[in-house]
Amino acid sequence: MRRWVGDAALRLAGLAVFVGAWHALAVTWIPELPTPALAAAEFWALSIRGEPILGRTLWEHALASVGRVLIGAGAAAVVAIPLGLARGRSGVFDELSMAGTEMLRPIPPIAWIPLASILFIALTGTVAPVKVFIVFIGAFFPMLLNTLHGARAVDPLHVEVARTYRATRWQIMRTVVVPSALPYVITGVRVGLGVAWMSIMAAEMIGGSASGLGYFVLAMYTIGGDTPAIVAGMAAIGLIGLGMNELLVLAGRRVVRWD
Amino acid sequence: MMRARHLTMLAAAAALALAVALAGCARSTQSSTSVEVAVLTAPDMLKQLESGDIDGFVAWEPFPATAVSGGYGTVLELSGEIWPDHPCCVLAVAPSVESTAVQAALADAHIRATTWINDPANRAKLLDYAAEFTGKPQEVVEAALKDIRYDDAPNVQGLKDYYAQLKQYQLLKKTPQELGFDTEEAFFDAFIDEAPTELAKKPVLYASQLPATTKVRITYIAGDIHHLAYFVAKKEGLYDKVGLAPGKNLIEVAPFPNGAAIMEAFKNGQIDAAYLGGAPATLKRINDDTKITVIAGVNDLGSALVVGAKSGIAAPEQLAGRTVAVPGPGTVQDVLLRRLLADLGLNYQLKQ
Repeated sequence: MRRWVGDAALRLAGLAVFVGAWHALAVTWIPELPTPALAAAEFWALSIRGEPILGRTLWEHALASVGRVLIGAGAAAVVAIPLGLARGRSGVFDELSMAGTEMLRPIPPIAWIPLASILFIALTGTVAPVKVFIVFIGAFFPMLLNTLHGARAVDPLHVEVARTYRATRWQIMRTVVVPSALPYVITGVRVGLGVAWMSIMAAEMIGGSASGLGYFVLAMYTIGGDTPAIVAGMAAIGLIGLGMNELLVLAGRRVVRWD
Repeated sequence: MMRARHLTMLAAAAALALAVALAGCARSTQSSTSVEVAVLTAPDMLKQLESGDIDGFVAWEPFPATAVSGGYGTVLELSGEIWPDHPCCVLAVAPSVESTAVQAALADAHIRATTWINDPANRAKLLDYAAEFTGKPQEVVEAALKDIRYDDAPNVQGLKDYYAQLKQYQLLKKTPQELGFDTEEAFFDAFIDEAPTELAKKPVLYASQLPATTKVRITYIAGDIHHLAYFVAKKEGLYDKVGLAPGKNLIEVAPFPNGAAIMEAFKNGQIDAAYLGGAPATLKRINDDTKITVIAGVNDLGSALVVGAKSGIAAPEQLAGRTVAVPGPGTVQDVLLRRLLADLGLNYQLKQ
């Protein structure tokens, strides 16, 4: 208990130092930088009354971004997790799929935007899915790699025991591999969502629709003269990113009781 | 037990995703009295008009002419039909160009180039220059040129009208008082300086009066046919005539993609003079207090509302429920669309 209180006090002190340094910087050195108080007031105003030019509140922009991330990252999970499990348990499949995934992995999600626009117009006749696709690319590889490591890290002894009891490949996968790899999978989802959140900000800045926190921050910059709104938008991006991460840490603890 | 918790979590996640998706769908349902406005770069407007992602766009030449010549777009309204005599591009200088002689010399070369462009005797050569400058075929630039009025006089009234609309749409973040001017009138007197063009029109050459240290870094928007006067002045040796030698005391800075980027370059002290839209010049002069001065007009008009050839839109009223793209909030094209929709009684709604 005392330890917990001590930690909390330290964290609060750290927060005070951060906010204090920001305030000092804004007041003494960079007048263009809004003070924490000004940014907080703007954050509140944008949350309640909204912003007149784009006609939306900060949270309506946030909902648009979160929606794109959930759809893109959800699709990535559906593909990456089974693929990672399969690669982790089958040497042949692993070698076969290695070239494709390893060649695409180092390409940053935003570098996909031009080609994705061309391909989606060619295949579907619309560029609408591009933003979600960029999120998919961002979330895919962390999910794949973590699942792969999880599937490889399964204790061979456990698999042997299951085999001794004549468990089928599918039964081994379901009862031994998946539960044992689950902590890794959840880490993959958590890291993937983080990258997805970064990717959607970049994708929204490229334009198209006029919604999302990434677009909001860029639009405030392009119109100019409203740095507090930019900082408030960044604060919303940070808070939601933090919230998603904490939720998954929590989910990980609840699901993986035996870890 | 564990599995049940699993399923609950999965179900919760799925429900959340579904709720968000549904919320998105509900939002995108259009009322029949509004137009959905997308924000796109001009090259993207062309691609998305062709693909059918958007039903129309408001852009500056040569983009409307390109869509028409590609067979996937038709001009529904010329910008002058929506907003008569509306302002477009200007020639502006940074505070670094202090010398009246340098300002007059820049205006002089610009006026000579504008006169050259408007002289029918130069028509054939003009088309060559326009095609070279924009990288577009001759038939496209020929169509584009029809919609543009090249005029070296600053469109003061037009920019004041534009300012009033920025104020109306709440796009202005600062008042003239916050910028150090007592009235809007005083702000405009400082922002648009007609002295350089008046000096330039006198039969005096400022070449001999240029300070020995003169070095003007000048730029424009890449491929923007409105800025043709710069290219003509360079090609026709008009800068040399006023004592500004390209490569010596007139340094061309690589062109920028849009006016907002040029205003950024002005703010960072990277350039001394530029051809740019009067809209970003005014908007950023006020919102970012980027201290530039307009010393000449470049052109009026020269934008158009283009609709997809397959959109079935034959009259502006039919834009209801459709998607139209503009280059960004507060651009001249954005103001044109807002004006048109207000006249038609349609709502302007940014795309979700």
